[in-house]
Formats: sequence, C-alpha cells, structure tokens
Amino acid sequence: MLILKIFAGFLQALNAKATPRAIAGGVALGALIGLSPTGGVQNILFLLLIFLLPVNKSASVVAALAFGALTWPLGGLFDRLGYALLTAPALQGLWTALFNTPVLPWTRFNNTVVLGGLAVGATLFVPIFLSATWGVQRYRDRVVAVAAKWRVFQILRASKFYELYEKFS
Amino acid sequence: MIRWNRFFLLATPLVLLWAAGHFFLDRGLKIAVEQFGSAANGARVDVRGLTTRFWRLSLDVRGLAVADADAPMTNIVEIEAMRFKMAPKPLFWRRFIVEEAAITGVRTGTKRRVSGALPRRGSPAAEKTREIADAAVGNIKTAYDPSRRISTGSLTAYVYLEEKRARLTTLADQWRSRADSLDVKNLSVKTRDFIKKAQGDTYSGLEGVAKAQAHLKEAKDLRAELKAARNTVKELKNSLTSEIGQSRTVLKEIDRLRREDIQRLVGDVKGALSAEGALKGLLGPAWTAKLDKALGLFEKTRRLSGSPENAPPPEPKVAFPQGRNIDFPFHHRWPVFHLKHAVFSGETPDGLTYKGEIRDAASDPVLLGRPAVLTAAGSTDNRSLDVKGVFDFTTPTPKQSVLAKYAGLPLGGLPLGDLKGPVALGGGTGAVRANITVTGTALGGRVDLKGDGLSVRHELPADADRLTQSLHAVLGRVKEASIGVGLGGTLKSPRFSLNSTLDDQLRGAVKGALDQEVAKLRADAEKSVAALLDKETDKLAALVNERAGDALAKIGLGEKDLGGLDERLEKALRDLTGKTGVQALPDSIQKLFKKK
Repeated sequence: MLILKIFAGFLQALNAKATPRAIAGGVALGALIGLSPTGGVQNILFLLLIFLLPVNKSASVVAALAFGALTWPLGGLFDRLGYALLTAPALQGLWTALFNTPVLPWTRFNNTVVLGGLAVGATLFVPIFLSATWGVQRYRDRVVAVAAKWRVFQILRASKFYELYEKFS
Repeated sequence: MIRWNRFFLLATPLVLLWAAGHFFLDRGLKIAVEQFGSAANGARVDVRGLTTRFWRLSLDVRGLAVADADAPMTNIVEIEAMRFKMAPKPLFWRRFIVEEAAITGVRTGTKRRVSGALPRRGSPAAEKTREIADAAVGNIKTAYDPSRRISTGSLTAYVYLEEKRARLTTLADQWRSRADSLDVKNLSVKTRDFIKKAQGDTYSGLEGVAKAQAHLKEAKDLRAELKAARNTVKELKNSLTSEIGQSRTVLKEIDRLRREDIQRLVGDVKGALSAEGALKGLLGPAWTAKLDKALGLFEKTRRLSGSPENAPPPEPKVAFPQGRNIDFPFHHRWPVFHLKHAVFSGETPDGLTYKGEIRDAASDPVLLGRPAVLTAAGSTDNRSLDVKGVFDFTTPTPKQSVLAKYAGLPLGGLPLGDLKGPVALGGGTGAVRANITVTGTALGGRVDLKGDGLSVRHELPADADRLTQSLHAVLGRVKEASIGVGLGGTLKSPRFSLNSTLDDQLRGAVKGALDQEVAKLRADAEKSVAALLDKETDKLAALVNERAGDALAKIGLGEKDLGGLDERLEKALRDLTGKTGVQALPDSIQKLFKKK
C-alpha cells in the first residue's frame, strides 16, 4: 500500500504538482542512495538532504528503488571501478588521510563496491539532475498537455479509478 | 532555501528510530547472537538477556549457554554473566576495543533442560572425530575379529585375482580357438596321396617326362606348404607355451599373496594383542577423540585470529554486493577488534572453582604486536588447577602453547575403552599435566595422567576367551597407573604414542594367552580367506589347465600329422628321378633333388 501511495504521489508530482527541479533533485539524490547498496553513514546524510532540501520525496524513493535495481547487474563494474580508485597510486595519500579521519571510516569508503557506487552516483549526479529536469518538462509539454485533450483521458479523469488515484496520492 | 519546518518532518522518523533502538535493539542483538552463534557452533546458543547502554558504551549478556553439537543435552559452556565495556575513541574509526570485560559463572559440561540440537543437523564433525579416533587407537575388538577385517576388498590376493581373471579367461578362450584354427590334416592327406601316386605311376617316353615334370612341380608346391605349416605349428606352440607359463605364474602369485594376506592379518592382530594394543583398547576411541577435540581448539583459535598461515586463499573474483575492503596505513595501533583485558571465574564439572584472565585477544595480532594470553588458577579442598596458554600470532609462524596442571581429579565413573566388554574406572584420583605446543602446524608435547587409589571395572562377557580373562584379572589388580600420551605430527594429522606403567602388567597377562589366541586367529583367518578365495582360484586354475591341455594336445596332433612327411616326400621324388632319368629334366627341376 505504501509503495502504491509513493508511486501515485510520484505520478501526481510528475504531472503537475511539483516543479521539474524539485522532481529532478529528488531523482538525483535518490540515485545516490540507490547506487550505494551496501550502505554506510553517507546514506543517512543523503536522507537528511532529501528531508531538508525542497526536493520531491516520492521521486527520491522511486529513483532509489530504480537505481538500486540497477546496481545488481552493475555490481561487478562498481567493484572494478572502486578497486581501481582505491589502488591508484596518485590517490593513496587522499585515501590514507580519509582512513585516518574520525567518522569517515563509517562510510566504508574503503570498500570497492561502496566507493565504486558512490563515484558513479557522484559523477552522474549533475547529468541525472539536468536530464530529469529536461525530461519532466518535455513530458509535461508533450505528453500531459496533449493527453489532457484526449477524450479517453477526460473520461478517465471523471471515473472512480481517478478518484482512487487521487485518494492514494 | 532550507525549509526549517522540515526539521519536524525529520524529527518524527528520528524519534521513531530512537524508540525502535531503545525498545528493540537489545532484542534484535539477542536474536542475532543466538542465530549467528548457533550457525557457527552447529548447536543451539541461547541467551537469557542482553542489555546495551549507549552512553556508557557497555554490553551486558546474561545466561549464555552453548550446547554441545555432539551431545545436545549438554552445554559445552554456560556463562552466568558477561559485561563488556568499549573504548569510545576508537569507535569513531570503526574500531571495537573492549577495555574491560568481566565474565562470571563459567561452567562446562552442564546439563540442558531442552535439547540443543538444531533441526536437520547432521553431525559429520562428530562422525569424523570418531573415525579418526578409531583409526588412531585401533580398537582391539575390531582388530581381533577376523570376520570384520577380512573382506574381498581388504585381501590383496582377491584384488589381484579380480584384476587378472578377465585377462586369463579371455586368453584361455583364445587358446582353444587358435588351436582349432590349425588344420594340417588336409595337407597331410594330400601329401600322402601324392607320394602314393608318384611311387605308383610309370614314366615312359616324352609323355612320361611331361608327367614327371608335372609331378615335380606339384612336389615343389607341397614342400613349400609343408614348410609353412610346420612354421605355423611351431609359432603357435611357442606362443601358447609362453602364455600358459605366464598364466600359471599368475596363479602362483595369487597363492603367494594369499599367504601374505594371512601373515599381515595375523601380524595386525598380534599388534592389537600386544601390551600396547591392550592399553589402546583400554583407553578406547573416546579418549583419543577427546584429545583430538582439544587439538581442534588450537585450530579454531588460529582461524579466529586470522593467522596468515590459515587464511583462506584470496578470492579470484569478488562476490557482489559485499565488495573488497582495502586497508590503508593507520596511525593508531588499533585492530578492528581488541579485547584488552577480561577477567573470568567459574567452576569445573567436579566443583573446583577458579579465576582467570585473558589479555590481548585481537583480530589482527600482528598490528597489535602482542600475543594473547590466558591464565587460570583455582583450588578447592585437595584439588588444584593451573592453566597458562599463550597464543602468539604476531610472527609468520604462529606459536601456541598450553601448560595445564590439574591435581586431585576424581576418576570414579570415568568410562574407558572396550576389552571385549566395557571398561570404566570405579574410583581413584588423578593428576594431569599437559604441555602442548604448536609451532606452525607442527604439534608437540605430552599429556601425563597419574592415577592413585584406582579400581577398574571391567564387564567380563560370558564367552570371554583366555586373553580377555587374563586381562580382566590384571585390571582387577590395578591400583595405580601412569599413562603418558606423546603428541607429534601436525594439527590435521596428529600422532599419538602411548606409554604406561600398565604395560608391564598387561604384557604378563598377554604373554600366556597370546600364542594360543594367535594360533586360533591364524586358523580363523585362513578359514575366512579360504572361503573367499579358494573357490575362485580353483575355478580359474581349472579353466587354465583344461584349456591349456586341450590346445597343446591339438598342436601335438598337428605335429604328429606332419611328422616324417618331408622325408617321405623327398624319397618319393628321388624314386621319381631314378625312374625318369635326371638328365631328361630341366636344370631347375634337377636342383630340387640335390641335398642341401
């Protein structure tokens, strides 16, 4: 039921309720959480940001689930990327410094999968944000605006199903 | 930009999180300890209660009971209370340093009210221990019983016979078919007919010369055929004689192996009937299993310490989603886990109270640079216990040593082995001194047990043989004994050597009965071997002899058929040239009549 409610909320936000930037922000932060499957304290920080910043929470949850599902096929890639970063001679000083900094070891950054996922998430953060903003705008212009004129859509909006959808969202 | 009103939204889940931790964390940890402990132990691990104190960084565990996987109604260890106090600073670096621990009410071998067996638990470890123990001590009962020791698989003669049987049967069948394929009868008849014809014919004029020429040509062909047939018979005879000789060697080898088998069996059982064998039987597999289990603890400590020698080989590919942890130089000498100091106190199953301490048990002893040390001491009435164990994994070759002394050990009711009937100690006290060292994987040291005021109970079976009766009488007189177990080999395949003051007493008892028992045993063994082997060997020998006889007889007949035909053919030809005149014949034919 909770999942349904979150999806309904996401659809409503997507259709009109939230600004494209809020949705895109939620998607980008959700992607960061989704791409860190083995956890770490950084996920608490990302959760805090989702609560504190004006981003759409439903979009964050949906994005976390979607990107979380992606980590399974991409797990090997994260591992290789994380390993390459952790063993890069040029970065040894940085990792050693971080390893010796209090609290940071709780992020488990010295784990290949965690660092690989985090690096992918951080690299894709801005592209995800921008493409999500653009995508939401295009969706609203091309799909929502056109579909609103369809008779089928108008019938659907007048139906019980839509009432139910409104109730959930 | 920050929406402060969202702090309230944030506060709600945080408060919920705190409440969940406050009310459910302890329960969750208790379940986790029980489940992970049970999985690691192979039998139930129960915890009565567990309390964490966040601000004090302490953990209290009450009523820990670890069931024995091999005896589920018994606890290996039961601990009344444990308190661990963590050092706060290392936690910022994700290091768990236990500054102080207090473990009280440690008891071993306590009874359980409910079984500690896990559902669907096989006990391969227990089976393996039993197997090793059996193999190590060579239980006298097993060694003594020929019907258990003699089987088709354990007799080398039978195994050899099985190996050769197929080949010999095939060979014997081939001899018959090869001898059957030899047909010289036709050639013999044909030659005789020709001789008769050549001697009976008259040769006159040109027609006679032509006939003589035809006969001479026929004689040449017959001579060549006879030569080829003679060669074939000779080759076949040689080849069959050689193969038959080899087959008879195989039969002889089976007989030799059979004698060896009997000698070996008698030798094995003689060993078991020796004084040392009797002592091994007296101690029984159960005690060797106990020793083996104790040695297993050394290996367990190695695994827990992450000793490089026992570390598993690095995985070629990482399993997602765990990933690989890569460590970097760390400015504190903090292992991930370090128990700095723990005090413990408890009671042995026979009521001796003791106290002890553990220092420096760590997940990375090399980083710490100090060995883990365990000491314990205690005394009650006339009993005393003193243990010191040093577990040093700080060097590439790990070293572990345990020195333990226990005086006043009550031995009454202690089960021993089996000498055609269970043996147990009825009373007495013992002193144990164990000094065990493990360097790398090499095992060394001794365990000595000295018993005083002993009484040995041995249930003598109604059908006891003379040897068992003698041993029974000796055991009835035993009042004191010293048994020493020398340890050698490696942790994975330890070797035990036994010596004891009982040896002399047992040797006296064994001497009188041994010869009689061995003679009886030899007869039993021969009978058992004969039952398994004789029928098969006889069958094979009969087959070889019968087929070989047939084949050789057939070849003999062939030789007989061909015998003398050469000379008779030559004589017929000489007569033929005499009648017709040699000059009349071409040179090529004349050459036939010249003797080589």
